[in-house]
Amino acid sequence: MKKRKRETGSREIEARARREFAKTLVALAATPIVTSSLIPGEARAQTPQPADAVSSASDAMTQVVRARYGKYLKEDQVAEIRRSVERAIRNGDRLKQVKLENGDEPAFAFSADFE
Amino acid sequence: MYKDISEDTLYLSVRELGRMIRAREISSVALTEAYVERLEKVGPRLGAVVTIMRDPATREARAADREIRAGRYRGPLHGIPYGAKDLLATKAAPTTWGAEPYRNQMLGRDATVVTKLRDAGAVLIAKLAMVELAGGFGYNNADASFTGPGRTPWNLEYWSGGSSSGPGAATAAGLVAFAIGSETSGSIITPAAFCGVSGLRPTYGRVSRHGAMALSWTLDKLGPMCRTADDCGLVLAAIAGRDPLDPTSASRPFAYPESGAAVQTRRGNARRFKVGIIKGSFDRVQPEVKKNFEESVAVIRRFAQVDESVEFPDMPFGPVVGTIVSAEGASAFRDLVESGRAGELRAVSDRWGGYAASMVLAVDYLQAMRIRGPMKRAMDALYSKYDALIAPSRATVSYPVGVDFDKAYPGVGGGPAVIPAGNAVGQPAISVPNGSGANNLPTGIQFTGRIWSEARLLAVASAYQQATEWHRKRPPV
Repeated sequence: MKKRKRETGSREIEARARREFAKTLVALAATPIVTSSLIPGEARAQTPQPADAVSSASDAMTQVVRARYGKYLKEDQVAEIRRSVERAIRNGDRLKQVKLENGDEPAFAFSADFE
Repeated sequence: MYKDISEDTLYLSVRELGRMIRAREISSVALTEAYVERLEKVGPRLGAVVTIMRDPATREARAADREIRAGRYRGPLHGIPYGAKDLLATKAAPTTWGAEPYRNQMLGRDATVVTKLRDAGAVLIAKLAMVELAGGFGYNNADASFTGPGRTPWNLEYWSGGSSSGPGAATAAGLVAFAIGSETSGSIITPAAFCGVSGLRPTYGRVSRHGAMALSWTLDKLGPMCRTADDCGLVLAAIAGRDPLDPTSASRPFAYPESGAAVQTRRGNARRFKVGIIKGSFDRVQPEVKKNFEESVAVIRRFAQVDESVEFPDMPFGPVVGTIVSAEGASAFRDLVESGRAGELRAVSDRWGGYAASMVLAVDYLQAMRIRGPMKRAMDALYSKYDALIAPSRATVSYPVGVDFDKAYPGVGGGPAVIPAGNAVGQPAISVPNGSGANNLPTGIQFTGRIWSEARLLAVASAYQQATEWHRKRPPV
């Protein structure tokens, strides 16, 4: 019985995800999602203040998580993900403030060699 | 006494133990049995141990004693018992990554570091506890391992630090002679500070990662956790070097004199060390952390020229590291996330952290990876002027077990993100104990340096330890 109730809950989450997914796609413009640093406190201290745009993007990205993984998540976890996503978006904004040249390559190199 | 070996002996440095084994004042077998007994007795109270490898360790110790008796001495690690963070693959025991979904995982091979230490004659006696998945899913509480919270031996109500929780606590409590930990961003420096041991994060690529759990291929590093900086040099010399099985490992030479001559020579040189204090690194720390740091600076002035208030580059080190760990970690553990088994993880926030991390956009990951180039240039331009830059290892003493990290010490912290910065650009650092703070908990000072400068960092940290006694203090366990 308990299991059945949980399955029902999961279906509700998935149904809500489908209803809101269309809205989500609209708001998905270049939204960076990262979780915090491994060191509590160090990355979060640098985050800028929240803005409406950040909030909308957080909602949208959370809906993607819900659509993909809702069957594994409870509502309180989705709420935590929403907060994490919002923090991460602000962190991502900071990355965009670093001026890069076209030739600045990522810090890894593909090698055609096997070694 | 442990198997006829005194507790005092179990707290000796690797260098001192190595000398005694070589001189046959003690045997490797006796030392191994004594440490195993202490692991069994004290380890569970610290949440520091996953698997004790009594039988294979005894076999290795017997072989070491036989070789030494026959005159085939391999070096200062020969016969020395050690522990490995349980993310290093071992044939002889499960490799759990600290996480419930992997608690019975048998990998059927040895990590390169384990092989290298065996070649150096060291004896693996235990797989040590760690924060699940090395903390990659954003844990916010000490209770983040299937073995329960790691506890610092200085006060069992407080965390040992993570993610190398077992290596930190076991080394501090004299359960092993040394340990191998890993750091993606802070996982050696933090437990070294919270447990009062010397922990070295080597330059990225200095030590092969083959056989180590991958959280972030471009950030993960393996390094020694010991009771002295000098010991860190001995262990690093054994595990450093190019490994064809890890294409990111480097062939840069690292030699550490078995006699400790590097430290003595440097002290005798006309040129003193040049050390800089990272500006803003101790403005908003706990009062005891600040006091201990200032006292450390006074000691360092005796053997080094000290520049005050060195300006750290203003770059988004934390967001860069966070983006990379999220993207690479979500990829490394994609199977776990998509199977729903992340829900079996211990820490509440780890059960959902992987799902948020899975949403990192490719352009953001690449942006973070591109920023590492300018970051490396800015950091190297600064660090090329110094033998070491220093800062408190952590802004606070350890966090209480049972309290979320972000609620433990509100309002404390800030300043330059020294740990994420060093990890983002792959620089080495060593944390050594420098005093005691609230609730009898240790504090640490970190010496950070230019890439490939481990020998110099070790020399500076050793000079500090020759002038202080903090590394000789023993916890009340």
